[in-house]
Amino acid sequence: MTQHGFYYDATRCTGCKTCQLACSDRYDLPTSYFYRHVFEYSGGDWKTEADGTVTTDAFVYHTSVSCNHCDDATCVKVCPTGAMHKDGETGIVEVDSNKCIGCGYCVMSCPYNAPTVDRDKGHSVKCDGCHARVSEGKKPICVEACSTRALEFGPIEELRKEYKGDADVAPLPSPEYTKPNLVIKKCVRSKASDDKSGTLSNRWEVM
Amino acid sequence: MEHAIATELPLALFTTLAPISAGAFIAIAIALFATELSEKASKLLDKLSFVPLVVLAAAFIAAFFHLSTPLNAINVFGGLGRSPLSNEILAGIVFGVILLAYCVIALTGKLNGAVKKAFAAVVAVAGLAFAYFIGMAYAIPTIVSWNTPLIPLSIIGFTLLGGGLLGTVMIATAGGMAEARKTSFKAVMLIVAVLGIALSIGSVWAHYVMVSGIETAVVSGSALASGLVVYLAASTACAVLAFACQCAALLKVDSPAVAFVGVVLMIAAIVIARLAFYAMQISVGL
Repeated sequence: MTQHGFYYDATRCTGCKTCQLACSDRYDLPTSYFYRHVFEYSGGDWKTEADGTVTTDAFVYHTSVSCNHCDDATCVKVCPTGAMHKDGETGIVEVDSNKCIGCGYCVMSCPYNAPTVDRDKGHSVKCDGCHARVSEGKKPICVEACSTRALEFGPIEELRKEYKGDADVAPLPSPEYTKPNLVIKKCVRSKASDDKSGTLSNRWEVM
Repeated sequence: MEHAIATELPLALFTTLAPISAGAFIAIAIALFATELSEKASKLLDKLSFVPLVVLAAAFIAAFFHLSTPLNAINVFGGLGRSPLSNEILAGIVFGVILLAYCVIALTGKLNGAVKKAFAAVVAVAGLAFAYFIGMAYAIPTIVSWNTPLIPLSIIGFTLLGGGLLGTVMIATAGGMAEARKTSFKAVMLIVAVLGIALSIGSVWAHYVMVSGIETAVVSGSALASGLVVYLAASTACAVLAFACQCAALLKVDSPAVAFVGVVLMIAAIVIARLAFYAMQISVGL
């Protein structure tokens, strides 16, 4: 098996959410959920010094995340039916709609907010790494749509070798929990996943 | 809380009714071991053995409303050993099958003496095991607010008090309470009730304190938990009143009405506590 995953460059991303919307258009998703989310993490403050000057350590940065097709995927582990499974060739986490009961256990357990239960479809839905497009030699739609080329997709070992990095970035969880196949190039203000100085500032947009 | 009511009510009902069903035979087994019931009471109690089975069926029917595609439910055993949900459902089915076997054999009149006592004890143990697996279904490492032994402890508390009350209703309806009260049944069931109320209330409030101390980039546990205090207080009040009903039934009142009121109060207590529990979901991430 050649495990596939995503690369995300926080130094290029402007938080425009084109990746999110392109994905939504490609898969004709309802307005109630996305397969990809752009999280805005912000914090810091302004401080007035004794001499009257003002300094700030305020920050904000974005992280574009879909399913990370984790090595130790908690959604796969907890799924009672085996519907949530890893593809034997690519390591992509997929949903077998013929098995899924739509219990939402995967939704509860995923710390990346990746799967959703679509009750109209009757099963869990999520990013499958644009399996159909990739098998035709194309890139996932989010990668192709990104105007700043902040996203890449491919064999994760190649991405790790080329870009070097991990997914230890707030507000994402520590990679230790699920071992995500996500390589992030951090920006100057990026914080580690255990950071407590900021908050998810677009919570109502992405949760 | 509004979100929990809108999305998790079927699961809240399942995790309310299932423990009450699972605990009923604790009282029945204790009664059978401690008391020589009259033939009339014994026969009527055998007929009433179907009551926990009906409650269990209602619990599973409620759970089905949570699923998007219940017709695929046959696949739920695919995760046995790996998925806590598969383990929980298997434990429930094993309990249900043992309970059904008891009911059917008891109705034929062939279940007597030591075999009957042993069989009732097996049903009680299977019920307790089911309660444990219900609680363990929420022990998911990526949900920091649920991954605690307090959850199975609270479910076991609900089982001991709620199930004990249902068993008391059955014994009282069968006309066996006056006899049972003269034996060690009274003292043992009082201990079960005290343990039940202590675990129910203690675990729920300990969980509240634990959640209050969790702060993530997405959720403030203290803000989340403080908004649920009124619900937890209401749940506690119902549980205390249910406990009082159980004490009254065990100490004095022969009529099943008091214990029945206790069951209703306990259903209210558990449903509210469970909805608050679902509202206190905090991920290690997003």
